[in-house]
Amino acid sequence: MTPTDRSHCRPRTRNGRVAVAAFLACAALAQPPVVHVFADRIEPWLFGAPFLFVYLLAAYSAAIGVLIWAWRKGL
Amino acid sequence: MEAWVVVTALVFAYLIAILVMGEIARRRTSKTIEDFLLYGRKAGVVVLYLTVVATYHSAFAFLGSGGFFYQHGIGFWAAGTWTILVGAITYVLGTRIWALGKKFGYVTPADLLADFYESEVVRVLVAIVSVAFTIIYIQVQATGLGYILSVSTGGRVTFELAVAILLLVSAAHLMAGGLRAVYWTDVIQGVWMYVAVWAGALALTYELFGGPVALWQRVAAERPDLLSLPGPEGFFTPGIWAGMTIALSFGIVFQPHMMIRWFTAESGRTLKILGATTPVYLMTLFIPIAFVGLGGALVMPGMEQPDRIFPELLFQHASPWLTGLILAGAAAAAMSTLDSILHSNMTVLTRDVYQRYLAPRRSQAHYVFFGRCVVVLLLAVGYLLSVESFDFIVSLVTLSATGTLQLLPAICGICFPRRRLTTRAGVLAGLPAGLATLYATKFGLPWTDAGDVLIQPLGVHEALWSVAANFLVTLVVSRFTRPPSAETVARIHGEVEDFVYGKPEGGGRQSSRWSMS
Repeated sequence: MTPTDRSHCRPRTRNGRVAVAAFLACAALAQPPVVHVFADRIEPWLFGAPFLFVYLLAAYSAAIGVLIWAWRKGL
Repeated sequence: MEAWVVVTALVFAYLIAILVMGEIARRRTSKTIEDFLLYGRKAGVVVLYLTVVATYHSAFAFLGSGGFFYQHGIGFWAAGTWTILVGAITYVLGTRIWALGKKFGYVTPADLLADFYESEVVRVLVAIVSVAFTIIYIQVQATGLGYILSVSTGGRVTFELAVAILLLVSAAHLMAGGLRAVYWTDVIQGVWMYVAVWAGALALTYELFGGPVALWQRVAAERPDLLSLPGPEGFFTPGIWAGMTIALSFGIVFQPHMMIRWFTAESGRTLKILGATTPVYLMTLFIPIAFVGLGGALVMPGMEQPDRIFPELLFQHASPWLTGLILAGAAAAAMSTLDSILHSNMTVLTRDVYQRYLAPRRSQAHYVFFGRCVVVLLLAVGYLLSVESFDFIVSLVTLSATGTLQLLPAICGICFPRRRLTTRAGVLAGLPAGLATLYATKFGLPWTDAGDVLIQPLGVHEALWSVAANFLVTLVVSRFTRPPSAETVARIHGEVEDFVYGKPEGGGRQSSRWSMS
């Protein structure tokens, strides 16, 4: 074993770093404390659906967008 | 014609179609165990896509999710996070596991773990954990199927008989055609389930409320507690939300019926497409389910078994033909998962235990026969569990997933090469530690006076406590124990490196930890 080992826990390319950071950001937006503190609002937002529902749908859609972007980039 | 007759006839017509497909698949299946167990490792994008989504979504999605929206409100929309993580895990981990399976001929998750950690004890432990916790999943599907058929017949077929009929149909087509039969029916079930959920939910929403906008307005006016966190009963606290996210993403994909699907892909590219796109199907299926659960809470309050809300609403408010088609879709959701679980447990017990330790060097046909016997045994256990105990379907699935979640540290040690290696001793210490923590934080220690204090400490879900304990023990013990041999590390981590980043120019890897030099 040599000291030149390269971990798989950190992305090695710029696109890889962008994809990981963007996906983690989207995932964090759909997790506590953001959801419970910021997004927990009941007022209607889109098509009568409450803000919390629409907010999470947007966060999920963005995360899927990141996955598709990563695939299109060949990551 | 009475409504229940139409509904029941449609559901049974669907069951007959499933049996016919099993027989056709049997005629096309060769006698090799790889074809019977792994579809010959040649599943393409469309087939694999539909079998993955049909397997992930089960009675859990069709019935359990509606019940949870009904009881605990909008917090269950957290489900979207799980499904997206499933895509990401498939993209990152699934492709690596596929590459190793293709290269080294793995059939089960235990093959992978036992090879890297050079331990037959690891193999048996992983097989036991996999089978033990997915039996709970069999119970979930059996319970869901029982609800569907007993509601379809207006109670004329008892829950117990309904469970028995549907379990037998599911097992018969699996035993006939192996994984080929499972995949063929999953293709139909995957499409049918999605269309059925959307069609049924929208039909009910327009029939009962005049559309989704009016539904949201009614819920906001009459049951605002359903639209905010943590929900009417205070269930979806931050600690529960985060814990269910981890359990129902990592925990579900580490169950053998999901991991074996990765092994069957024809290429790594296939799995990357799946990872990027399956969350679209998986996540959007919860939108109509929210309409059902939240709307149901307004029109049918006080149900004793909220998991029955979708079929009960259909039976009372939709046309018999539509109800029959949709409930057949519900049966599809449960059966597509049930046959996959039966198949994977059959594979694990046949390959990892029977073939290896009890009856080596027998014919391929002998192992196929033994596998079919295992299915019968598992069905009997699943039947007894489903008729003897009732719990929320979602709660059972979460417990099942939290058990298999304990494989996470060991799998990460294989799929993410890093300087400090995870060791056999680390895995053998971490896995029991995780399971013990799961037991303590889920059920407490009832034989002590203060045992209940341990249940979900600080309001954090048992999945987080147990996997954290598992990681901690695994890493600490690995720090001080002997790693896998350099040859094995070079072979397996080298394959991961080659698959993810490509082989270095010249074909050889120089100055790398994965090399043998």
